[in-house]
Amino acid sequence: MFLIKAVFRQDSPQGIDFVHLNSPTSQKYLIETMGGGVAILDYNNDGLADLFFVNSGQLANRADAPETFARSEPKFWNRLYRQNRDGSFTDVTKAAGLSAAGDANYGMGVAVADYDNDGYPDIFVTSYGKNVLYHNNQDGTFTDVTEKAGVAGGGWSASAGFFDYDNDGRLDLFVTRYMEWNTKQSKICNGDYRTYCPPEAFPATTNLLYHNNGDGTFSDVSASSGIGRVKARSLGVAFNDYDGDGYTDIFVANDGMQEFLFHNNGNGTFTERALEAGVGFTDDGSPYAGMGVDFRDYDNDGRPDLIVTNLAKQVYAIYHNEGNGSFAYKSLETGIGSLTAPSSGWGVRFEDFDNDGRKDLLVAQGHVLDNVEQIDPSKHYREPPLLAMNRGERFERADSGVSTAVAGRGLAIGDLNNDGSTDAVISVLGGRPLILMNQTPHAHWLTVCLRGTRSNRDGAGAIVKMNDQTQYASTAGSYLSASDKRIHFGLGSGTTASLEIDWPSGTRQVLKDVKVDRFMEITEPTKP
Amino acid sequence: MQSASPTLVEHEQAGIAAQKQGQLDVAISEFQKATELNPDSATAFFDLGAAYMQAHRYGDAIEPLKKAVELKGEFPGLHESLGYALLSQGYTAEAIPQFQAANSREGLGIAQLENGDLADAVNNLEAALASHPDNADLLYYFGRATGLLSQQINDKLLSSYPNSARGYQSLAENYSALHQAKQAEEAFQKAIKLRPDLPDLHLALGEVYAHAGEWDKAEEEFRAEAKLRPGSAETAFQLGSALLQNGHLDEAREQLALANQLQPDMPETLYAMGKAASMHGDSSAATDDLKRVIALEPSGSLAAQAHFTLAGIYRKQGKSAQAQREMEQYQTLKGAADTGADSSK
Repeated sequence: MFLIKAVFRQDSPQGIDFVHLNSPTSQKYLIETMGGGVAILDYNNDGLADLFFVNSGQLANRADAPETFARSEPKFWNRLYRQNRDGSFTDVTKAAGLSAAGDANYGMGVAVADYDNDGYPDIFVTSYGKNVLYHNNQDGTFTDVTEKAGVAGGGWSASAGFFDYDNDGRLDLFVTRYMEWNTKQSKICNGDYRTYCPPEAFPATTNLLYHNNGDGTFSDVSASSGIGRVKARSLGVAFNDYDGDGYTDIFVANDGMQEFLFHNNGNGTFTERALEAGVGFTDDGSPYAGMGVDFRDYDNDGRPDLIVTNLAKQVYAIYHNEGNGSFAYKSLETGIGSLTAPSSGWGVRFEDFDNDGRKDLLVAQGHVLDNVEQIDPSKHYREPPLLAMNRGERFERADSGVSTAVAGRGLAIGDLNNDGSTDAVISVLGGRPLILMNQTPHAHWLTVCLRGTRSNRDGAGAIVKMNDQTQYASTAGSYLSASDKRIHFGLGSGTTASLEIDWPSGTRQVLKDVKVDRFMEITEPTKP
Repeated sequence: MQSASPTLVEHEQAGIAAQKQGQLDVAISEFQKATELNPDSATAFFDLGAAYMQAHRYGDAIEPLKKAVELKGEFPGLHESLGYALLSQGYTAEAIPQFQAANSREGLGIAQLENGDLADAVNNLEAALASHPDNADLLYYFGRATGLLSQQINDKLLSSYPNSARGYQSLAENYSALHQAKQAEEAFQKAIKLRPDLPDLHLALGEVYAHAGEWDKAEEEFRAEAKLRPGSAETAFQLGSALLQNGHLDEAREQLALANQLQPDMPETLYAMGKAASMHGDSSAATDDLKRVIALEPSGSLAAQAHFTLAGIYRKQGKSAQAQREMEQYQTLKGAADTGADSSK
């Protein structure tokens, strides 16, 4: 039997020519080392996953003038690539109306969802500058509706995600913001070497929560919801219902300080409960440089767990959901501690890459400082991604198939070639993305695409149980990125499946003896 | 005994009065005149030299102090003052006999250090420190002397026996101190290949791996060291810590208990024991260990960590009030520690 050792094959699909440009300067502007995101979405609903990359830009103005980043130059555009039937891609950025990123915006991340329930995914791009919401016109084009929607934000936004916090059937929007910073107030940190400053060098700021009004506009409810009550240096965000009360909670990865777990009170307000839930720090009470986050059930006990990526020597934090509103720090017992101690992580995802029914771990890696080897030779600016397979009690390193060390940042997953195994795309700071095609031998699988009726059209926030596995419907999580909205289950040798879907509307749907090895659309019953 | 002219006495007295009032320029001028009026007065030259020393004009102090010595002056501090004056101007070889005459082990040690007589310098500075253990200058010079002596010995070892195990060990330690982990690793491995039975090699190599976060490799080296030195508390602690990092809880607890048995009540060991017990679900043992940490070291970052871990244990047990109390202690201690906190990046 021919054994495939590596899980992924690094691919260069025809038509993908994106190069992220961060344009580093001797001024060591912190924005230069933090971008940019990637999204896997099917923008034209043709059943093929398309790719969207966020570009950054180049500071182009005089010191005393307003900041501009030369985003009108094609090399600094964000890019949308449509997948063709033969697996190649076509750059449709200009035709889709996505070439105008805004000259004053240095691009960061992306969120994707159908915020107006018209059946087509919309795109939200975050920036240092203003954020932009592109409405999908259902004809292959997008329209910038930021002003009407009222979601431009401002300052330095990082990750974002759509979710329905009040279960009203409309997707709301959460945006993390990193810090109060601008090029004029930037600092350079000098020890023995000139470096990017640590986050503590700049003031913390508030995150943003927008409520979807259902008429194409959003209301900024950051203050009234309690989200804006606490300031931080936030980067990643992920959603799930950790206490099973039917309302989506929010985890925010903060850099160099306590993490945030916003408990949804079910009345439009949130309470920050990271400390009492045991997810604020490591088990020693130490803060770390939280960057990316995923909020999924890795051990199939039905409760969502957390992983937060951070910098070398800190070890990525895994918090196991203990089921009583609290979590236990499990980085060491799961083997993640020893696997990640030398590494720095960003985009992250628990996903079953070998279809054995257990969620594995993929992380985009690389240190934040481009000269870190000079400061500490045991740390690395460029690193290959980490792939760790879930072996039940522990995670074990596996051959990702990528030997190239890169400055990894964003990470999105999805089935790019619809073969039933999950692929991944990693965005690379100042470089070409890694496109990782899954080549593991096929075990059985089932991928479901939710269609909400009483709930939001994407079914975001639905909890889908298949046999002993649980998935939460969300394109958010990771770092600056958005993943395929389809929900994938590996089934090992299982040939049928039982499904139980808890929709955000409160409807429970049960499907038995479902045939596997296929993509399946599930529509929410119109009556409870 | 010489008889002084009235004018000489006047200048001497005027100089002393000015010196008392801190008018050092006036004092120097008066003593200068006194030495000119009576070039055979050891007292006048000593007073002039002392005034220069007080004014931090060490170079100017040398000649009058030398003259006072030539004139057989016997004043307390004369030789020591001359020694320091000479030392300050870099005349270390000349300073040494002055310190010897003064029986000043502090000055002698510093002069010998500057002169490169490192072994003698270490001896004399150590003796001086025994009399003045809190003298920061002495501590500095003693540290410098021992460091340079160590380096000198290592250099000799490396140049005379470059391919010996000890040579590689010394080289590796130098690399390690410079945070050149790759080179340190290679040198330690060469030393181990030549002398696998040599104590400390595996321990030091394990520490290099641990610093780099390579805990699997660190565990392997600490295991090798533990085989060589089963009675080493440090090795048992390091092995236990590596096992803990690698999530091997049973064995980690065994090794940490051994470390605590070999060298009881080390707060770091007790904290690691408490953490391992907590991870293992043994709340009772964890609570005992962590409380002991706090008893031994009520403030500082280890105590803060112990309070934080205790809060987690109590929370899990549903003891909210106790958990809250521990969190408050943690926050108080952490707040104090964070005033000098290090950066995450």
